[in-house]
Amino acid sequence: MKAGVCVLCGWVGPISLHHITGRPGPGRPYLDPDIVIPLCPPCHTGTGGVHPLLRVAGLAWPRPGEDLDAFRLRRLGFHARLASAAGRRFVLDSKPSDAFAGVAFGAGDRLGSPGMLL
Amino acid sequence: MKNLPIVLRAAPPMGEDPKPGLPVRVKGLASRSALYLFTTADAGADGDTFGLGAAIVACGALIAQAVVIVPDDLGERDPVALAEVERWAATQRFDGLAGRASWRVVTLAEFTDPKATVEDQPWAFQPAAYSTSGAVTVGADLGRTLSLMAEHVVARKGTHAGKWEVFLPGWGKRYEAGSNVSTTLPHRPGLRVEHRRVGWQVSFGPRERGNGQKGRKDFVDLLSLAYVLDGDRAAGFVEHARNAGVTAEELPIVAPVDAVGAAQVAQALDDIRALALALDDKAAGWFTTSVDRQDGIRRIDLARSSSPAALATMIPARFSATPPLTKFHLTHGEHQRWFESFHGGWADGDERLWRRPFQAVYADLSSAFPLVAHHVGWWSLRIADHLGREIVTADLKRLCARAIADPTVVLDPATWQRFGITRAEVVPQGEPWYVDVDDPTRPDGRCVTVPLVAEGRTANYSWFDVVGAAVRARRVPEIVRAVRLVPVGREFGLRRRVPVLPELVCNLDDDPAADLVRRRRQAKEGGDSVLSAQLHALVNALVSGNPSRLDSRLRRVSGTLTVAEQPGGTEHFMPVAATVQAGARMLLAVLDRLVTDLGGTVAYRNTDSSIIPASPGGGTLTLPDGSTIHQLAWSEVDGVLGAFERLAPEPAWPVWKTERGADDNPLRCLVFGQQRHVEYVLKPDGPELIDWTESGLGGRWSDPAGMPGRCLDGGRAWSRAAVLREVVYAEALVVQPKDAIRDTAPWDTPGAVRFPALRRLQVTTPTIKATLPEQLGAQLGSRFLEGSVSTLRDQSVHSVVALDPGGDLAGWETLRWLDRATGMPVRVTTSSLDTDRPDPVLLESLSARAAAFARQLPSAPVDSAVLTPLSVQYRGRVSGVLDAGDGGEPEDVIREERPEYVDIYGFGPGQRKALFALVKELGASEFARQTGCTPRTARKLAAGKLPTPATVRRILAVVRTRECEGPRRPTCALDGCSRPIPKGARKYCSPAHSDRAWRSRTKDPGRRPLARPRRAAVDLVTEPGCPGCGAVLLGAAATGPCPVCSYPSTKAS
Repeated sequence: MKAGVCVLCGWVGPISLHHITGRPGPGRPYLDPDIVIPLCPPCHTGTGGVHPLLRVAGLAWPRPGEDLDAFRLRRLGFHARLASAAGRRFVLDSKPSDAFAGVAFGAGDRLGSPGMLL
Repeated sequence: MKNLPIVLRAAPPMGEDPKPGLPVRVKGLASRSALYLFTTADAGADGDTFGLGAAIVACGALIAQAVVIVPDDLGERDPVALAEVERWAATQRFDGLAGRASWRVVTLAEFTDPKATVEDQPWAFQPAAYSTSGAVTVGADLGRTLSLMAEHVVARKGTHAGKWEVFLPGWGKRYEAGSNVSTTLPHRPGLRVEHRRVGWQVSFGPRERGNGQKGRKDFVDLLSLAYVLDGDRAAGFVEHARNAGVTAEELPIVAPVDAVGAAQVAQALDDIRALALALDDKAAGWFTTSVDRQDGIRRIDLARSSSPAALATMIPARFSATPPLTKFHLTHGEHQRWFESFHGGWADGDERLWRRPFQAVYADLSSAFPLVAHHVGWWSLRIADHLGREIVTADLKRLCARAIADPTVVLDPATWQRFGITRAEVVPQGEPWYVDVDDPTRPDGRCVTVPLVAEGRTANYSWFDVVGAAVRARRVPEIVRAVRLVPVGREFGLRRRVPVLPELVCNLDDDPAADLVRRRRQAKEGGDSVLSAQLHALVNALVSGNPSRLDSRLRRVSGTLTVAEQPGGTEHFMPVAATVQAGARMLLAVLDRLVTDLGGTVAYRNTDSSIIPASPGGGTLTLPDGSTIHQLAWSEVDGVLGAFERLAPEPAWPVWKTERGADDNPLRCLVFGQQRHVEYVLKPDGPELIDWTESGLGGRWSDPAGMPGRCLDGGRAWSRAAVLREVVYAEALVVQPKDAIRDTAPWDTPGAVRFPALRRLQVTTPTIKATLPEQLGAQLGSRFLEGSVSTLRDQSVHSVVALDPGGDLAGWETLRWLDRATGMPVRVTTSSLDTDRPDPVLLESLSARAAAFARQLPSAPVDSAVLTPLSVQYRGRVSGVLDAGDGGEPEDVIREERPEYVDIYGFGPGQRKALFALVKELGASEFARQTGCTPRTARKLAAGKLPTPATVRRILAVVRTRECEGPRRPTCALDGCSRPIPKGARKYCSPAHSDRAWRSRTKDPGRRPLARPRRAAVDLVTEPGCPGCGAVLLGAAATGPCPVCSYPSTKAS
């Protein structure tokens, strides 16, 4: 386990890297393996943590037939709202990969504005 | 006049050592997923049945799921209503955790589906409240909420009688009518529901071994939690919300099953969530550091805290102090003696002054219990390593002797520290002692201060009571032994500092009670009345309520269930509670003596306050019978109260707070009876109330439709109006004794039918449900109204009930009233002129009830009491009786709520031995003659054998009655000695007294022999008055600066 600062509660110590966009199904690879945020264990999997909340919000897995880009964006919105409620800034750093840009461009294409600049 | 049996508190088995609770470290509701739940009854149904519900799964302010719950058959019986609800839900959109979403409509069966999963139905009860680790369900009045949804509600049996088991639809199955309900799936248990003093305690039942999810599932009843955090026991939902700074509508509601109803339940659920988050935010301040608060950590167990006393328990626990029963190993005998010395507050007065107005000074002890606890060193005892015992008999006798001459000597903090927690065994010989008596008209216990004579056994009292008795009787009681509990050392490993509130950190070396009193004063001065009320309840629980706490439990004895008790919580330690209560009584006793020495009297006293007839310049009160009472001057009262100021722990914490009005408009008082008095001043436009009690008014009877809510000082608005009406009437009686009439009640509209006296009750126990007619349709948690039937008419109906529709009860006449005994529908009225058919049941009006406030409750006078081993009855806590009375339990059940410490023969502790001794002393034939038993039974007893339990009970009843009436044997002929003569035709109790009588006779043949020269009552030595203000200063108050005007040195002048 790495050490770092939890983006939700600000706790400094051992953290887990949480994949924001998740997986397309149980046992499948992550949609965006590089898009991660550091979370302390209570905020990650504990009571009231992100994973239980994803389940009650219906965002643990994509709905059957759901477009994966739409699922990615909904998960992004979920985490942004959670961070906002906790009074934290939610800044996605796309380094070292360009994965987030890829997600955004993909979503933009779907929405009918190809090449939109983020 | 007859003597009533004395009731002594008996110590229950102390049982296992109480385990300190685990340190609580939980996430608050603001950062935790929770299910918020609300249900309402169908406005169109006759009974109390499910109408609509609403549920939200949310993490703080972020909603994940929101549903309206409709009855399963709504689509069939009213498709239009269902379509309306669905249309309404579709338009209600919210910004949720998963984006913008709208409410959805689900049936009750879908919501409570035991096989629902978080993936398919994340809004359902099962995943949200049960299968999620650390799930929490939040509601207001949870018992009713769950009961309305339930498929089966079962009254639990055996030692769990009084509690309920609730099975939601699909969770339980009754295989045949009348059989038990069992769970449909092994890992879907029923819900166990139990009523608390405020709100409900809910938990899941046990699962089959190896099945189901592990981890805690919490249920938070907001009524309980709000009471913990505002200390307002009488408040309803809307008042709790106001205390928490939330605007909300009153609950419960009864809603129609349509779109309007859906909007109402959604709004109610919104209010519930707003209150939950506000309370969660408030709870964040308790026992947390700034880092805890930043991390959203709570140190209060929201689900299991049920009163401010729970917070008080946490203070020693946060210091890591071991529970007293664990570390102080008192024997059962010691516990028993401390229990005997425990009594409640002293409440009585000079009844000649009752029910007539007089000028007075109202004196109230500031934070009386913490004051006493602080001076006797309760905290050093609480954190001590162990306890030692010190015999202080001689010291206590000396103190009593000095106090008789000058009562102010006991107002020295050094004396309080010297005696601390001391218990004395005494032989009362007619001094006024505080005793509990068994009055059949008062199941809640009756306490009186009467001359007490003990015979054949000693009595146990705190040293405060011994000194109080000496001061009032002006003679030193016979003290057999006085033992002080001495704290030795300090427990190892205690925390040095504990954060209690954001602005309050308690240090181990300082008394936390004093810290809390100081914080309360700051809150009061800052206008935070909610925190002030909470701290008031908390600090009293810390030093008195928790140490004397006993929890009720049912115990099976010889196959019969009986009410028993056990030490409650981790803070139980009766020596502290008994001493604290006695300290307040002694302060009142000293005040009584000082006032009496000046020729005055105390019109009424109650626990920590006294009403002293006094006027600016003093004077005389003439009573209707021509007798007079001296009214003290204010300066005299100031002098008397000034003598107590040595006990003030700090300058801002005076011992007494007084209210006396202004020179040109002095305070007036009216005492109507126990717990019923009012203080006011006369203004040109009528009396203005300063302080008043509402015993028997608001809180017991429902608010009238014309005057709901509270007034600014916290009481019910209509209670205030009722008290004011009595004051006006009493003042008018003084001026025009024959022509005075009582005004009509201000809440009644002239010409309209008067509002009735109604009690708003709830089905909290199976016993209450059993007393209600089936036709009412009430179930667990149902709220109902009980009307008080007037005794002006000879009516066949004794009580009427109706389901409570909520709101202000303006339409009380149109409710579906039923005869409580037969279930037959009846029409009700409060007008005796109503002659319409069918004949209505005449209810007592609230106006008539309010007028009863001014009438004295009838009770048998008690002039003396006799304490013998066989006359006493050993009983337990009365709080169960009080709770049962408040909850509307029937009277015969209320009586059974007080535990009785007797074996199957009816013997209390030590009484078996005493009965054998009595038989031996009297001889079998005399015993048979006196008790009415057969000579054979008496001979059997003389031989040390017991007859049947029924016979023994009969004999004990006769013996008790005889012994209560007075000493059963002639007493010593020596004047002043009341010891019984053991046997035979002797005149004196001992050869020594025989000799003393002979010496006395030979010295002065005409004089009756005396037991011992009585110590002459020493008149109070009055010091010169203060040259600054003229106040009469007593005792040490005369040696320093004047406590009234701060004149430098009274002595020097």
